[in-house]
Amino acid sequence: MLKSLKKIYSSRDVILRLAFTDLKLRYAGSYLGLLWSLLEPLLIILVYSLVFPLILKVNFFEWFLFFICGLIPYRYLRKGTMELTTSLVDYSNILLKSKMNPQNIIYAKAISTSISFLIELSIVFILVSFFVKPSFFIFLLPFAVTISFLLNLGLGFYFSVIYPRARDMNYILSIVFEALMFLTPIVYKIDHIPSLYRGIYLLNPIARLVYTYQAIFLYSSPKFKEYLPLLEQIVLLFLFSLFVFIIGYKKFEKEKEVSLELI
Amino acid sequence: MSVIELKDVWKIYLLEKEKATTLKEKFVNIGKRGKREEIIALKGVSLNIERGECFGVLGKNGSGKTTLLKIIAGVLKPNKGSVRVEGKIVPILTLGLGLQRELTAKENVYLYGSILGLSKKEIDERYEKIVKFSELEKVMDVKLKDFSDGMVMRLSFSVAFHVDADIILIDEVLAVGDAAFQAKCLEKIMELKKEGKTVVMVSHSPDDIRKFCDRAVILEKGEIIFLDEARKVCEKYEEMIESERLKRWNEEVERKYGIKFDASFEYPYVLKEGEKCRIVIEAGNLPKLPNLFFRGRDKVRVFSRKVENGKVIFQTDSLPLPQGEYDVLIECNGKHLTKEPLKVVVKSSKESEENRVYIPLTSKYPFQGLTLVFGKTPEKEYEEYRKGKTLFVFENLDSIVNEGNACLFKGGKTLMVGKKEIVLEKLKEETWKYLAIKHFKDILAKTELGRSLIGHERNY
Repeated sequence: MLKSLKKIYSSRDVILRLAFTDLKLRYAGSYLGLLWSLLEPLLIILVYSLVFPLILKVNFFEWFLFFICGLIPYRYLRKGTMELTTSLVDYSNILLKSKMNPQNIIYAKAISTSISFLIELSIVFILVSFFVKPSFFIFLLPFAVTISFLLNLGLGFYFSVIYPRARDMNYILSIVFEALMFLTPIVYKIDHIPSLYRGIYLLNPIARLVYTYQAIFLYSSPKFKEYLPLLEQIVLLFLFSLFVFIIGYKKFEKEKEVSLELI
Repeated sequence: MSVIELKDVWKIYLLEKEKATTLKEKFVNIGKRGKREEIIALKGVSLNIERGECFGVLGKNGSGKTTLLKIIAGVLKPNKGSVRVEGKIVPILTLGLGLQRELTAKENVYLYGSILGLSKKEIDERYEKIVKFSELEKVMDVKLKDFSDGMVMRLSFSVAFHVDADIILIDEVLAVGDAAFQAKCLEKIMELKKEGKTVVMVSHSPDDIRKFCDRAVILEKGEIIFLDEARKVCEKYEEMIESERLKRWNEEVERKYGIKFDASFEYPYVLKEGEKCRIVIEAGNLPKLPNLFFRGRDKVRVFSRKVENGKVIFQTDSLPLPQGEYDVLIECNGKHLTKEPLKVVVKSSKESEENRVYIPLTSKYPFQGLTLVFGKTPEKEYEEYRKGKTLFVFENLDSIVNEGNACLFKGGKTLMVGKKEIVLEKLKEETWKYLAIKHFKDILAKTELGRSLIGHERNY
């Protein structure tokens, strides 16, 4: 582990350069540039916000704040994982013709998606703080982001070596993530789940992660109900994400050579 | 001391014949697995490349050149055998690896530099030099999509040359640049060589290898078939390529007319001036003695041909044709055996430049028994020629390319010696005179002057 950390450190320049390039290319040639990474979720949120309050018959503003606090972290996880999954194939020209460590690509891609995420998250923070006074728990935000990042990396490592062999992986993932969205408390609150099934429901770590983000942002809101102790969640989720990261990393190291021949 | 050492390196690619990568394809192909094709890209290649050497690798597409380079670079791992490389390697395996069209040239310098393993600080230090070398100072803020291929090449080479690697690997990318930049690259390579750096270059163009390399190797089907000085290797390679081109053509003709054509020195259909040569043409129903011609710049008729068992055979110890491409024509009863000619190429060899072509004149010319010899010392050569055989007739004397002196002999006696042009002029004059006399003999016989001319004819 220490050795691989050293490796990352020694190739930090190329990782950062690739991340920067990726970020820049994402919006190259578009007029609004980086703004799109904000506008896009905002537009989606707007559509959801118009539809769901009608169905769920809840207060619009209250629901809207709750919704973006859950959607943005969830979107990061989905988008990040999907992009990392195809990253080895996307960067095949570099990987096949230079001695570059394929890990660098994964890290670079993860960093570039994370930067988009951080920008989105700061907008969320600003939006929320108009309506809800930030609570003490806002200091847990960096931890939550770290958990998301590790989870993203772990899943990315894991699926990126499968993808060259089975190109269906990204279709499957997109369906899974689509379904998973309705198994996490994003458009509805946990208390919409009958308490009988809540135990099973909370086995989903993504649901817990999304809940954690919501709690961090909205803790001081009078409407917010605490279902789970926050600090404990952070610790549990951190351990879980570390576990996912290590599994993914090991899988990647084991299979990268075979996969590289197939990209 | 060798910096690159390959020992019995094997590389095998497993290619699935029908690659099923989506689930649906896999589902359709269930039970059909194991249909994998093994492609052996390298078959036990052993190679030593010395420090400060520029080493070329020649070969056709699919001969394993790039695989070899990738193995040296460490991008691929061999299935068997060992690779030892000393020092930092920079592989330039493709033009502008990882360069992004949407970024500016400057950003691309940083991107490419970091992909090649430079830190940001190192690129900062070298940036000025890189830009200066590329001569693209004015356009460093332009996006790469507005660059031409040549400019992209300049940029990527400039970065690659400034990495301070011990070994540089180049995969047929130099050809894109203009002549001036190529010259600059050559200079840079020479400079790097002086500094003790090693360059390995892959190309299918022998010209590049000749320009840049000291030693070279020819790869064919994953095996080294020739390793020597670059000049010699390139010559060999050109012969190989030429041979294959002619082979395609000749096989087409052979198939069309149901004949067999065999002409070989080292490679089929590539012959060497002044060297041994044997041409066999096999065809059913040949007349007694068909005429055999070589048609290049001259049309040369071969006299020392034999017919055995329906085969026309021509054999000589010293092929007297100057270098060039020749059509081989077989004429039977005034008709060509094949509408499209068979083709051979004659290459000059260093040794043959000393030897001269003997051009004996026979029945085509009216001067039976008259011999014209070219060379520095035609008289001496004529002596040697008399020990050999009569072989060729050039129908068009103007096209004889040999320089130097000429000598006209008749029956062992020297008729005339002098500069080639003068002797030829004299010969032609005599020819016309002879023809005129022959055709207008009757008319000439009526005058006294005419009769004296006829008498002159009998001298021949």
